[in-house]
Amino acid sequence: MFDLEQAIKKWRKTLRKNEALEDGYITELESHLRDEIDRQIDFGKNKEEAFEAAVRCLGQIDNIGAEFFKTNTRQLSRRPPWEHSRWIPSLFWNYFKIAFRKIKRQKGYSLINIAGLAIGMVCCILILLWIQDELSFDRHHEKAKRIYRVGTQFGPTVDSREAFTAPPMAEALIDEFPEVLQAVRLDLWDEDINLLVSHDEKHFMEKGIIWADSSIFDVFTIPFIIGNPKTALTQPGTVVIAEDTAQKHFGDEIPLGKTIKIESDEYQITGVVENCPSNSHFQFNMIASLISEELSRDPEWDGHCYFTYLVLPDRYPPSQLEEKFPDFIKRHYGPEFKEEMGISIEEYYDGENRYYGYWLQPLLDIHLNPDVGRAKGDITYVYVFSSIALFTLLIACVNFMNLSTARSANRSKEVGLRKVAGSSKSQLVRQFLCESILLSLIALVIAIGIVELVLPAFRNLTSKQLELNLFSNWYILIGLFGLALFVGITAGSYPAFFLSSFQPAVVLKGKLRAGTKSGWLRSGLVIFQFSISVIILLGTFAIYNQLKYVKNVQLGFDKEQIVVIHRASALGQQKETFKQELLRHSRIISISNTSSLPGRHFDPNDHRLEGEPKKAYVLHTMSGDHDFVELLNLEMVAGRYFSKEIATDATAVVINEAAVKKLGLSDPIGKRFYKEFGGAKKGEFVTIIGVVKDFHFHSLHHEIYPMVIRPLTGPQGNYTSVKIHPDNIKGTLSTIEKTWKKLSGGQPFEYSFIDDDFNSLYKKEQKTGEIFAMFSILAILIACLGLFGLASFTAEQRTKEIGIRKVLGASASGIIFLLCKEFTKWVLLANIIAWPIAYYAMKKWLQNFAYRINMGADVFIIPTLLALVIALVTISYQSIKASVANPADSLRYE
Amino acid sequence: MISKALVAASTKPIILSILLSGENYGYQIIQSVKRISGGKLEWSDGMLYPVLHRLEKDGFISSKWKTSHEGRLRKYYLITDLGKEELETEKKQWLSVHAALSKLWKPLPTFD
Repeated sequence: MFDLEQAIKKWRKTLRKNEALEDGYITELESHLRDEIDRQIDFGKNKEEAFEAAVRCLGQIDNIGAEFFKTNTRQLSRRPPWEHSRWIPSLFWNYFKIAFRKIKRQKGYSLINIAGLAIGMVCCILILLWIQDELSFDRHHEKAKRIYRVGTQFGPTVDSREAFTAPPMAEALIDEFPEVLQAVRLDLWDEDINLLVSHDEKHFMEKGIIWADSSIFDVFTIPFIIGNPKTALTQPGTVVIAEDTAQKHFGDEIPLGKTIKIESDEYQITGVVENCPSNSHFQFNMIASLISEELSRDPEWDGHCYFTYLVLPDRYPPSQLEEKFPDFIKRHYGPEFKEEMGISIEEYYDGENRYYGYWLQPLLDIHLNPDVGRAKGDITYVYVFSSIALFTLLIACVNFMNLSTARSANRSKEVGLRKVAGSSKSQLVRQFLCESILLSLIALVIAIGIVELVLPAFRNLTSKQLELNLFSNWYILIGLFGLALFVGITAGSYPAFFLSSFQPAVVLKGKLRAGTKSGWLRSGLVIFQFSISVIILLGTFAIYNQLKYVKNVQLGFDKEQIVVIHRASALGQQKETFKQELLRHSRIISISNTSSLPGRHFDPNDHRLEGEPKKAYVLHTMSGDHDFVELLNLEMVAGRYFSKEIATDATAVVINEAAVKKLGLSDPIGKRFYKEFGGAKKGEFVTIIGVVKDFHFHSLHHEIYPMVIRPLTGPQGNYTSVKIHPDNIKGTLSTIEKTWKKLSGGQPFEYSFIDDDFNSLYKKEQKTGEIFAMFSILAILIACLGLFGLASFTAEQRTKEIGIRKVLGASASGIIFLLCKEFTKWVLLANIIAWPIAYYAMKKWLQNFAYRINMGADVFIIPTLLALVIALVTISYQSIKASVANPADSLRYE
Repeated sequence: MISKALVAASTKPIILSILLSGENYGYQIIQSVKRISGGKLEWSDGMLYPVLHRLEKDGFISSKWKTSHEGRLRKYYLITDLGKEELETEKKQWLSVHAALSKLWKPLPTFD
């Protein structure tokens, strides 16, 4: 039976819920309702119908409440408190409050979570800084997108592309093609080499001296501080210097018009420019005018000695210019080619595997393309490190997911209660996401702190000027915030949906068993984590093994205690005196003058055998005096080496075994080459008098190339190598220095050890190895943090089980075994997944080396054992704690 | 049906005009409006009360509680002097709008 009074009472109650409706309002509304009900009853409706119609007539209570609220409030938004804000989700601040309380209540887990996320973020931020720097190369030039470097391709495939071009090319391009707006030639040969700079009777060793056409300032953006870019480099013997270099040499004096000597040539300073940014593919401290070099006026097209850069119009497709190159080559190089080779360039093309052409390389591609033109970057490493950054971050996220779902049992009651109290699933999801985002924001702040701390070390490791300027760029801040948001949402999404989907009736009855449901997922995530860690670890091991191998392999020559004196040609005619004077000392074993040394550049030159002028063999060439073989303790396999006593040795050469093979000679001794590299112009010959056993004169990235040693005479040769006695190396060095100073007129003494020089060929791999090692340690650390948390959780969950087992007679070691068994299984499985991936990746990397280690079992076993040991150590603390606990304590409450 | 915006704009002068003929309470005011407009002015009943309170707050009307003969508590509203003044200004505005519209809508002069 419908009770009108009861219904009205209930209706009043619903009105009460609205906080804007005061008692007076409700009374007024109620009297209105009653009047309406009376009227409806007069129309013949029964009480129930009348009540419902009257309520309907009155309209939505919330709307009425909102209107009352507006009447009474002075708040600008006039938004009633029970309505959702359009911008901030309802309960937003409440979520934060709860999240903070949770973090405070569960200090241990929060610490593990925050630490893991922070370390992951540190990795990610550091790598992103590195990548940002790698990708920023040469972008500071205003015309960067329109600048191209012309290169030469010597064979049919792109492997044979080089960046060097002939001296007359730049001018010819400007003259013939209107689309070539500007062009510049750079001579970067001495970029990394110390040259002697002297002025006012003072000597300095200076790196980064390059030669360039005056148009360098039209093509590249190099701002002037003093001087006129239009005229600065138009005259021979002029030089522009960078700000810091000017400061170093002249202090605060204005150096304009001063004369300096670079090696033996005089240059006048015509300008000071801003320092070269570190992210430029060529580095300079001084730019000298290219026309000072005689070579720059060489009209011949077969010398490939300069880099040529050109500027094309905006959006002009470079391929359009490339199409015009073949004709261009025929016109310019054609006549010269025919004279030199005896055949026309068209005939040459007809031959098998023959190609000669020019190609354009965009400026912005130069740095990351390591195959061409001595670029120092490598796009592969950008990809590899990006994936490491992503994966470390994922490992950290996985930690969070794991711990959160593992602890779901502890929170299931909370979820149940919240749901009973009227919380919707989406509100719970929001709450959990809020928690994870808050954690990741805290982690971000910590991570930024750590990054600032380790950045100096990281700068050393990468030799890059990296900086984290939070406020210099708004997108850095937004990017970092985005990172935290990404981590928070990635890490929090699974637990949020998992936890919020509990059925309140089930969980409040306590039926949900602790985290069993998500067990398979948890183990999957741990396996995933460890797989990634092990892959990085395996990579590190493989890199170090390979580096150990290349450093210890028998190179075929003695590399110990050989001091290389650089710039030996500075001694001029005193060279022989220098040699004789040093040999008088007992600690000096032997001395040799050479044009190159193992680990340094060997010119690849065309060689033609007598009688076969059309067939060219590329042999790497060096010149050495008659002591060279003795110095390096090289072995002769046939014939003999140059001798001081035999005058005809001036026209003799020695080749290595690889050259014998390449030339296809069964009896090489006595065979003759044309003396000229290019061809047979003068008809002079050099005779092969000996074959030296193959030795590694290049890094182990390459096969041993065929090589030829020519005799070195007189003051030629830039290196004087001194083999010294291992005792008192310091004393011997100072003796050498004294003699050098005396005979060179006080020039700076520069030396290195040949083994260091040779090992520095693996600098890039060494750096990669170090960076890999660092990140593998961090990745393992994060994974272990997660494992530790998981282990302590498992131990806690199984307290009673362990207690019962102990009461029934289980030993402590048995319990430890029980607890470790599962984790060991996971780690081993992770290893098995990691092996093939690491094997494949490292196989690819090792292909950089012609001589490489075998990816044998040892490479895998050590990291696997290491990962296992680390994992077991991590969980052992918890396991031991659980196993020695007194069962009486854990069972007392049952 | 009259549009929402027009209903909202006309609420104030209508209520004030009804109260000009003597004190009245919410339910009656609504009934009067319905009667006068022939049901064309449609208000959600509940929404009247916030408007009444607003007007009271602005000082255009005042209120007092009375008990009806059935013993039902009713809040009666009466117009104040300020309310009367306000009604005058409203009236002028409405009349000028009315005048303008009337002029516009006069039948067009025909040329025959």
